[in-house]
Amino acid sequence: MKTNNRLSFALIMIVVVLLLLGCSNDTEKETLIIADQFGLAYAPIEIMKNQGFLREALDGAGLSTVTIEWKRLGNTTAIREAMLSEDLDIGFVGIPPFLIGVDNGMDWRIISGISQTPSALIASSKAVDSLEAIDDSTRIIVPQPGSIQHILLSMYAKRMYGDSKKYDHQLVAMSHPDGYTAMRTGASNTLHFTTPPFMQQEMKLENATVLLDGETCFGGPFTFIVGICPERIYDNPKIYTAFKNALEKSIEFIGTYPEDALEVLSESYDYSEADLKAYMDHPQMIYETDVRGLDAFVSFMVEEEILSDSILNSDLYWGSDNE
Amino acid sequence: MNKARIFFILFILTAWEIMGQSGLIHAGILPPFSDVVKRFGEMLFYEKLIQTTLYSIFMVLLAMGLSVIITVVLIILGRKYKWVGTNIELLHSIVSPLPGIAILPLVILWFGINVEAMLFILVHATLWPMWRQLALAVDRLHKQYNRLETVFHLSKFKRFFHIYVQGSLLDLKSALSVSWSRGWRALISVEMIFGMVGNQTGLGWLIYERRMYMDTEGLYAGLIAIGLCGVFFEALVFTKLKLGRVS
Repeated sequence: MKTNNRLSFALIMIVVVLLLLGCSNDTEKETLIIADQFGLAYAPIEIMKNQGFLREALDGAGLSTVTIEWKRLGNTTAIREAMLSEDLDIGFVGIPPFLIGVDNGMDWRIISGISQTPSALIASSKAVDSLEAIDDSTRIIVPQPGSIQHILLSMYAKRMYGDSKKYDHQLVAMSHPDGYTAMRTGASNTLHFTTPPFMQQEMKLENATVLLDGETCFGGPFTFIVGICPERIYDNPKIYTAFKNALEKSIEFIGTYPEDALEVLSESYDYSEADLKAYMDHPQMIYETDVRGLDAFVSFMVEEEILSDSILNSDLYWGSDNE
Repeated sequence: MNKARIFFILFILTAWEIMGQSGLIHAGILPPFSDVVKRFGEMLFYEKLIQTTLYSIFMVLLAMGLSVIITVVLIILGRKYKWVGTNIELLHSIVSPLPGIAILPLVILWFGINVEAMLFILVHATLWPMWRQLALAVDRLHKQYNRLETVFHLSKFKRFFHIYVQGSLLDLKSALSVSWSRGWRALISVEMIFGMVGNQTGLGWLIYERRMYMDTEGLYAGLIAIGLCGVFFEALVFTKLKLGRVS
């Protein structure tokens, strides 16, 4: 009996150790896994997928054995966690969550910017016509704490009231579609900081009012979404270059062949071409590789102690040390 | 027995610490246990961990209080009018298997996003197990003391208090314990999935927020706080609660 006890005890210990070891995984990969999120800001990835630009580029680099896997994840945190456990190679995220990752030891950096996008804080009731009119019972829906929408709101609060955390106790975290559902109740105490196409859908609701737009918060244009990858991808120059070229080609495609792009996107996002055209024609909806406003995000987030000072010395772009 | 338990816990913690320190696993996935303890201390003393925990506990207790009142009303009505009783029974079997999270989207449509919505979900989570247990207890007591009541012509109050209330105290204790654990889980998951908060924020939101800020130590610390609360209430408060017994 006693030996049995000891034996089972030892077995349990072994299982625990194995479980802990299981947390790390390093497998040789022949698959390139790419993840984006939902929204029009990610349109170039849809184009890249649909037009086969990445496949073409990989084949051209002699990497025809590498398979490509596309994923769509709900938020940046999921992308970060997947990348951390090496289940993801290239991701597309908003700038602030990217910076939070760098600050906490993620070895990822920016490959390229992909888009600027309009964003707006919308009230579902005419009773609320400005941010000054809201009280403590008001709930502000953002995709997640630390998201670009949350940081934009903090920037506005800082400029207007000197307190970046003024609205923090009123935040509610919901994905864009859930936020849209909440807005449909028309409750006067609900605000939603959102982006296309949800922004336009909400504006069609009765009584919806825009209280604030993203550029006002930021004080100018800024890049919304950047493409990022960890060092292990950058260290593989063939894959890295192939991907970067394919991404640039996709962004160019939207500019050069807007009609074709519209057709592709309308199919993959399931919106009518007319609706989609209206969304894409918004003057703040811009697809480009430049990254704008990164320094302003860094200095604001360091000032507000969301990031530590050490990020000021980190390289945020791949390849910047060679230039 | 106890020694084995302590040894087991120590072993897990040591293994955790060694794995964390070894650098085999990114600290964003498994930080060393000592860092988690340090972060726990920081959050306890500087970052309102206590306030957050108390708020979460308060919300669940408030919902349980409401549930006790609603349960008493439901049972009285159910005994008085037969059709009410049958229908509560029906409602219970339809509604009680629904997890709080499942009804959250509906609740948001009905109430909007506010404390009332949160309380509604918590009451939903705590009410049904409580009603089930207490309704059964009252049935049992009724069968046991039915003749006594008629023979001695007990007044309504005497019947209610001395037979039903005192007689069901033990059941109340286990009902409270069950509904506490259901309420606690509902609260944490509601806060985590939809990040719904009152003017104060609770533990579910805390770990959700820590996750978003990639503060893995803080995330582990929050989980430890949730676990400790669960153990504290389930094992200590509701089990050791001294409730009188009818002889």
